[in-house]
Amino acid sequence: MAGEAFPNPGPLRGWLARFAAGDVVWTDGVHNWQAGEVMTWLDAAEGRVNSRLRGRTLALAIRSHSQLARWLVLLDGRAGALLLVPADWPETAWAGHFRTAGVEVVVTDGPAPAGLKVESLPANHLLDSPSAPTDAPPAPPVSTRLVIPTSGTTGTPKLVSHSWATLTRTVKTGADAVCRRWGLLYELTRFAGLQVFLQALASRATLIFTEHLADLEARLALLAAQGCDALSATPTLWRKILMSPAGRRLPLRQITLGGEIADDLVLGALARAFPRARITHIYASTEAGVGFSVKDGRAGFPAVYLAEPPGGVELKVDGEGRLWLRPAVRGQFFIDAAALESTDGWIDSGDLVERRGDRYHFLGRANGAINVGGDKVFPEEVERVILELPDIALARVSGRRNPIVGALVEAVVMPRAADANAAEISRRVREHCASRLPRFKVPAVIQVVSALATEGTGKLARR
Amino acid sequence: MNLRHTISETLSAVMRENGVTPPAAFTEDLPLLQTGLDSLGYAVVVTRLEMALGYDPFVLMDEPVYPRTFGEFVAIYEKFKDRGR
Repeated sequence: MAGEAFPNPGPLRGWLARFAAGDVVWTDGVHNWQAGEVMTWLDAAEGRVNSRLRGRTLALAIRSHSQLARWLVLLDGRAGALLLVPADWPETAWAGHFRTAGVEVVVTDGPAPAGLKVESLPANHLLDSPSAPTDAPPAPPVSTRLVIPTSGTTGTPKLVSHSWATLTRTVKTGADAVCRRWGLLYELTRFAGLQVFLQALASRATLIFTEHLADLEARLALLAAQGCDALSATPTLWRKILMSPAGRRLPLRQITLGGEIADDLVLGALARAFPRARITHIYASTEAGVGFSVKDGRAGFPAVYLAEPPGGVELKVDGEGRLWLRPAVRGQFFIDAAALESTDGWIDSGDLVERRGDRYHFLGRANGAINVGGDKVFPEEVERVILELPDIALARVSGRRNPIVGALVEAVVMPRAADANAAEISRRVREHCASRLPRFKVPAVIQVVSALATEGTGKLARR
Repeated sequence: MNLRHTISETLSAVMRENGVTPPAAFTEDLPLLQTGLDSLGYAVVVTRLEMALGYDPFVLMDEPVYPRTFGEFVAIYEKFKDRGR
């Protein structure tokens, strides 16, 4: 992979320094943050960081992405560790996680949290009251760790501590000749959002924040108006983008999919809707960091990846079809939980794969299978089959307990047309599934809905 | 809606989905095992009925009961209908 070795510790300030003073680093459509302005802010805030926050463990509970971005650059190389607090964490859950992570100070743009035994600092504090410049020589940067919670879709979120080395392993430095304006649809506190943030900063591209807008259509309208040419989202979000009038207007040159299984249907639809775009689907997780990316526009990944590690990540598939990863750069670990990796460095992805010809395809989460009278059903497989029907926009499949066979397959589908006939839709879904799947995989119950929710991670909400 | 009618309609629908021709009449002594539906088919019937009626008698019952005829199957739903909803 081309690019210079990233400066560690504290790479963010170095990346920012490569922007011209008048370049827009971040925008939310209302305010443009130029590099010079951000640098001035950083210099003004520096003294306070050195006296109060240096080397300490901080929680950043900052909803505004433009504020969080500035705090990340400010504290990189200064703070000991930063815990990123997702927007959907209730305040009642903070104390437990703060204890686990050893948080000493929480920075928030919300009301000061009550009953917490840590110091609280308003996020706009340093903006409003810049400190006087000091004559003291700048202290050498430290290696700031980033603590990122897992999404917790399969239980309580765990805290994964990353070094910049694991977070920036696949980030390409140097200006990208093609993509100049990245859009951010993810939460910046999430692993996927942080990846977009880092990639934009490292490639001297403008990053467009959308978190202040309530719904996806408004966000996509802002991205289109801002000329967003690079965007990363989950397959579920991409299916929604394909249905959106504003989404279709995006002048995309780079499309990135991650977080869920990318199937041939969504990859093909994106290639047709955005013929000028490169399409990359990445395999990554908060636990394992960035695994590998696939750029040939097809679902799954080439079987040759097992023999020739992509980007230095070794892959293996065990007897049960479980995918394991061994990254060349390691530096992430669970805080207060069992080790991420076995002693020989392999990390269990929890995903099951199956070889078909020269390719491995993803089946689903190993712990997500529905047991129908002893037969295993992966929700993702049934969802993929349902989405073969052109008039279905989104589908969610889950298990429903049943006294006779233990569990049955249940499907919730969202038709493309708002005025679709529900009885007709569920009949078509059932008949299509029956023609493509063995009986035990065919949804016994099909509900037709007008909307399907996604989580803060952009993934389909599976409850 | 008549309970017996709802049950026979649901049975017929699931039978047709499974390529089985429903009987001309759902008589009291019609043996369930001779309807051509297997346990997976009945699992689907019970779930559909739970959606339609709001209760699943096979979950509510304390002692497991295994109906042999259509009449016994309906009787189980009759017995628990006050516990639903």
